[in-house]
Amino acid sequence: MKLNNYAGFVAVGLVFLLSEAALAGIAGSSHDFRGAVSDVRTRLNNPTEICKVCHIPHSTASGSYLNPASRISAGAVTLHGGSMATPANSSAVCLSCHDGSVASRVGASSTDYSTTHPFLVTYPSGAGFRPAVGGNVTGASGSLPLEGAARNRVECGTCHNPHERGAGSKFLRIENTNSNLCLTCHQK
Amino acid sequence: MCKLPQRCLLTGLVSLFVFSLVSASALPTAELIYQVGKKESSQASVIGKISDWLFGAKNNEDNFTMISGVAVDSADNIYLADTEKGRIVALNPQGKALARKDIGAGILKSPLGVALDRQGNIYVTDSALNQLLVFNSSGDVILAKSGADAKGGGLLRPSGVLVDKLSGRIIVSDTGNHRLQVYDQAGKFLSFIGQAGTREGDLNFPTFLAQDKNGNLYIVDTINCRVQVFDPNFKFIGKFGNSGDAMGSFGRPKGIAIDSDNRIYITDSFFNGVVVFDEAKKPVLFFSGSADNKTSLSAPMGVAVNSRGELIVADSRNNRLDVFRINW
Repeated sequence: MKLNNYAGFVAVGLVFLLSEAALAGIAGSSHDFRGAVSDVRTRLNNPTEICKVCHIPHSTASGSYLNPASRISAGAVTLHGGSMATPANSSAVCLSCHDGSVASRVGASSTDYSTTHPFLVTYPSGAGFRPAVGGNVTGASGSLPLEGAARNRVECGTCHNPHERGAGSKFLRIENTNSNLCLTCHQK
Repeated sequence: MCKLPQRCLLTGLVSLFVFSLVSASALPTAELIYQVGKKESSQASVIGKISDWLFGAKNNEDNFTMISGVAVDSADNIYLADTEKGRIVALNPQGKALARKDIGAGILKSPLGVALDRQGNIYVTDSALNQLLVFNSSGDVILAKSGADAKGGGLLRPSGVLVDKLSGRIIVSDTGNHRLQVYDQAGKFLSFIGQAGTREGDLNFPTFLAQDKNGNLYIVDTINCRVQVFDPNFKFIGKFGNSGDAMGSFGRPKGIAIDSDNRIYITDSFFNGVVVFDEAKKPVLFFSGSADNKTSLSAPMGVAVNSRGELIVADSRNNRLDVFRINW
């Protein structure tokens, strides 16, 4: 049981490390939580632990799992022979840290433009917005993915890639120089 | 070993009956008693918006935006950190606002932790100001601390705060610096507890704090997915929990409360629930809302237990308090 769990952790870690080169972008970033970034010994002793802070693995075979709605999936990755459940949105995972304690706070009101861009909202259609095609919105500077079962939701992960720090410090998928990020969706 | 099938069957049934009795008596249940708070007016009904426009948005128990810490006083009044509104709100034991002004309004930016002492002073951590602020019962600031005076001693995103029941010392979770800071009652810095890491006694984004009836300090070591226990002299004496989704494991442990029988309640803002441990630190219950599933917790943070043993949960992203009775 314990051995299986450990093997599962290692397997998952290897899958991540080998299949997603972007994870290299996490190492040393503010999303690298391996025993606190400054603890070099811990990081060296736990090279596969980089994923599990957000991709929490199953820790039992008894079936007594906690609330499955909060798990986050990493696409094709499987654990113990089954895919991890995909939550309604990835934002819930982000917000479990970005509440002002572990990480800076994100506004609780998804319609409050004064503190953050709205999230947990459906991507609008019509004048002023580029059309979403296949769950992506594409502008001159790149594409932004929408989320949810219908791939029509704006979530944290639409503008931020938690696996890639990017040129700035905000894990933006498209740097907002000259409003390039904004203009990917907003047609002005 | 039974030799007759009938006797085997009878023995089995009796065993099952006894097992059921033991199981039934051993497993507690959670029962939602009442809730305080509602959605912001911007997400409320048109009538509600018109009412807010005509009479002003209510500044009371119905209008919170992201609740973090919660504490109760000796009379079971509830003090909560209304984080996005930058204030501390006091409620009576029934959840109705006390007739007093909001505490810290206009001063606080991001209040997270809240604690009380026997004199009625209110201790608040502010993760945007990087400060510990202490208000007297009239709402005046009587102490403001930005951390130890020495170089590198500043607070970074402080969250949990606790007033030591035995000594009156103030203990602050210096979350962003992976340590705790201890002050005397006058606010003089005394010591640090812990450093970054994963070994026993190390901390990795510690958040909320609690104390058991023996004076032991419980630290929610959030990113290490565990709780660490220190004796009254701040010596490490134990730990429990790990990363995972089994009973007793955590995703993102945050709030913690300990009742008069040393039973432990810990919120998990990743799994959107509360994990209950008995006095032997054995996990005995996980719940994520009401039993009828009509209410689900969303990113719960602080938690407190009152003199009746009722559990007051800061249902952070639902902008409300949920009060549960645990039927042991």
